[in-house]
Amino acid sequence: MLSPDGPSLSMARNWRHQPKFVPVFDLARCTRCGLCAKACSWGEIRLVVESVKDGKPVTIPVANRSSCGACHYCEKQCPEEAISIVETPFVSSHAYWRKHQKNIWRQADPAEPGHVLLMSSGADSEAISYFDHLHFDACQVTNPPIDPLREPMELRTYLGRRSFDVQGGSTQPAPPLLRLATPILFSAMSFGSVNLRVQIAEAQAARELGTLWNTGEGGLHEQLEPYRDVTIVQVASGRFGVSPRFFENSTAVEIKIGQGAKPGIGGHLPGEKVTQEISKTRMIPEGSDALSPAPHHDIYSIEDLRQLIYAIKETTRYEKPVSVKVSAVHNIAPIVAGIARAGADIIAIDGFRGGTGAAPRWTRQYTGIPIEMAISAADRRLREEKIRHTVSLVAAGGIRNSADVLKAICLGADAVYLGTSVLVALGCGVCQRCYASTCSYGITTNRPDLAERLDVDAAREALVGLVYAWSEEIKELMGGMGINTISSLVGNRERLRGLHLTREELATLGVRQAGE
Amino acid sequence: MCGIVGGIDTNGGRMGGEEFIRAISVQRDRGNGLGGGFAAYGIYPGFEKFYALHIACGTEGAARAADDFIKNHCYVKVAEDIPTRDLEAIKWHPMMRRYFVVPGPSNEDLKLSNMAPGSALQGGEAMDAFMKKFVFDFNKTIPGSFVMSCGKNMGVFKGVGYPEDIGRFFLVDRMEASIWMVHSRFPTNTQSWWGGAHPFTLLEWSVVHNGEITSYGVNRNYLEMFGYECSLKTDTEVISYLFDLLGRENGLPIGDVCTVLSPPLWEDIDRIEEPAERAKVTHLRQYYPQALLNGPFAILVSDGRSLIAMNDRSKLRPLVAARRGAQVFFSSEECSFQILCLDREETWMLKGGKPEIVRMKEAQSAVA
Repeated sequence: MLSPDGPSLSMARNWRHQPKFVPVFDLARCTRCGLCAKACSWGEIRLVVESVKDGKPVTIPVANRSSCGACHYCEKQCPEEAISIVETPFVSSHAYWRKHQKNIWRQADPAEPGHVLLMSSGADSEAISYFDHLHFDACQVTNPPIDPLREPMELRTYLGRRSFDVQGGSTQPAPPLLRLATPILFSAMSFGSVNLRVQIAEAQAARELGTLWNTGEGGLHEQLEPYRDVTIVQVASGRFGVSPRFFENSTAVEIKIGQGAKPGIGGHLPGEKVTQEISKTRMIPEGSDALSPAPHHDIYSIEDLRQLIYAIKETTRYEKPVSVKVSAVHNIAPIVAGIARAGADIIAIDGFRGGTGAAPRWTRQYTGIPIEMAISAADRRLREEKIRHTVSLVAAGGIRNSADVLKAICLGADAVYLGTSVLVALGCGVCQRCYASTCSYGITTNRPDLAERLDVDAAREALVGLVYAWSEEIKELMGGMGINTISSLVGNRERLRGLHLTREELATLGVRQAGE
Repeated sequence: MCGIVGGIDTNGGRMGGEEFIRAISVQRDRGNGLGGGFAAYGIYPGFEKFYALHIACGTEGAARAADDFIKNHCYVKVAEDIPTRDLEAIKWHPMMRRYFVVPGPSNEDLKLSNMAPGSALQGGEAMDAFMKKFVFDFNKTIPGSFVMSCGKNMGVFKGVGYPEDIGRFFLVDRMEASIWMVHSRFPTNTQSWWGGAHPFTLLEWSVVHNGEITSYGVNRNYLEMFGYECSLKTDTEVISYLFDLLGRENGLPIGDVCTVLSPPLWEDIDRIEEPAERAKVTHLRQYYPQALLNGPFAILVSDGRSLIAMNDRSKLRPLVAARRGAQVFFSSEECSFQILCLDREETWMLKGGKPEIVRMKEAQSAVA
């Protein structure tokens, strides 16, 4: 029987936070150093006095069971490897409801009722990855494979518009082509969504690798001006940071229409994150919310996009290629063809697995289509319209390894953008909470105490190592296929075969069944 | 693996087919009896103004359909069987037909009007464009028939068998030509059929090829944008179409076409000292990456005015050359030169990606 002063039942506890993950401490290994509590920026670990030794308290770590998101930072930082992150079973055992019960609970939370659930990174979904169902070809007997350690293997790629006299059309001078040493670029991640250190590391790595990085829509910090030769600046619906200085310090301009993680919606950088530096770079008042509208308010159809493309070309004296980035949506093929005819030199397509700093959960999860389908459909449509050779296609959204890169290229991309992979290379555990500005790794936060955890030199080295290693792996795959220049694989579906795919899926990808 | 042999007399002098039959026969290990063929330029003097259609028809019905198709689309000067000789080695063969035609109004139409043959089409380019479309339509719409060749003053003789048998079957030993190209096939990627033997042609372009084109998917996608239809089930046909597209349609000089198909490495391009040349080669690679041929190959190409020999950039297939006076010969193996030009003055090996372009002296061009 409960005593009148003891615990009583409360409906409020129906909504008590039930953690999905908890850190578990191996106290036999733990030296009581307390580093884990310092490491965790999410407030999950507290130190509790266990005993007193030599007049000083000895503390042990205790999980708060409130805010662990499995970023694994404490686990990696613990010098004794005494921490494991454990996934806790959630509430119901019901096969259908248990997966999403937590969302219902969150939206009924009396502390913050009825709010939109935000998530970061790309779709955390079990939807099929077509990349995993595609296998490469290799040479046997009739054709010698090429050893990339002994023979030349060319990854150099040029992005941009090719103006053929026979095609007629525009009399404008063709902008220069962008030269890439390898068909891998760093994708748009704005100053604000990531901090300046990340962007400096990206810019330095891009220069060392002979590729390009992308500012995202948050403007260009003045410390990044020296990297203008490797910088793509982005013009998005919020027009943050767009100025003559911004254009001058770039090698190409990208108009962002959409992003794979959140097709059809804009962006939101909370005022709390708009620090002095961000306010200066974005050209908005300090502490004010940075809202990017869902549409560009001057683009309500394709002819308006054409005007923006040419406004930018006029502004930059036709010296800089203009890219247009769109989300992979159902009708992507004709959209891409329209963008090509509207004058874009490069078209970037971002699949539904593309990352984000913050997006409504279900937009992120279920809006848009896979990049594999989108790039293949767009490539085919541009060929049908006889203009594929005049523009470049860049694939983005969920590229996890060098095999994905090469498969995207075989399906029709000239190059790929890496976003989440860049963050993972810096240590990111993909905990999907970039919106919170609490990143333990110091990547997606602007809190100085956290940002300083990211060492620019080490970050640059990690990015160079990533792209260098992937490029070498791509050369091995190409050599096996008897191909010594990457352009011979752009759209070369003959070198792919499909496994466990339906006839319709194979047809959409343009790939034949294994064994055929 | 395949064997190729070719020869050109730059003075326009005639070279007998018998020697080329014997020259390919000594490369017997390079083929397996599943394909052989000859391209001969300058063999139809007196008919230089007519497109010579060589047609293979698998059945009587196909032959009738082919006949109707040709007579509906062209003025036909001559329609005849291609002379052949019965041979033990050739167990079966399609019907071989030859038409000398001018595209445009048919014989019937001309009877009803006072037009001249070909008068509906303005100039040579329109004629060529018509013929190209005619060939693609023919190959697509007449099942059991295909066009072996359709150029002027030239012809292709090919089929399933060892090339020496195919040559004697078609009486190649009685022909004389100023440019010869011969092929012995060892098919590895596609089944053998009479249409799959080399040479492959389009208008005056013909190609013999030893190798495998790993960039086929890219090349084919590119060609299909410009109306070329790859219907012959083999990678080699893209080579003749690429020469036609780049050389004839886009008007690139033949040397530039070769640069596009088998270009220098980027690192070598960057080192070209002459700025204009460096800019030109860079431009060709930037603008025509889909036309680059990847994979191992040795090819001979002719348009009746020149004979071009070319290797892939890594030289993964053999190709040697020899010169005797005004005659230049190419072969997969030097042994063929012992037949063709024992008294040659020079023998050399082609370098990877460095084409040899041997031009006919202008006045004696084999093609009018």
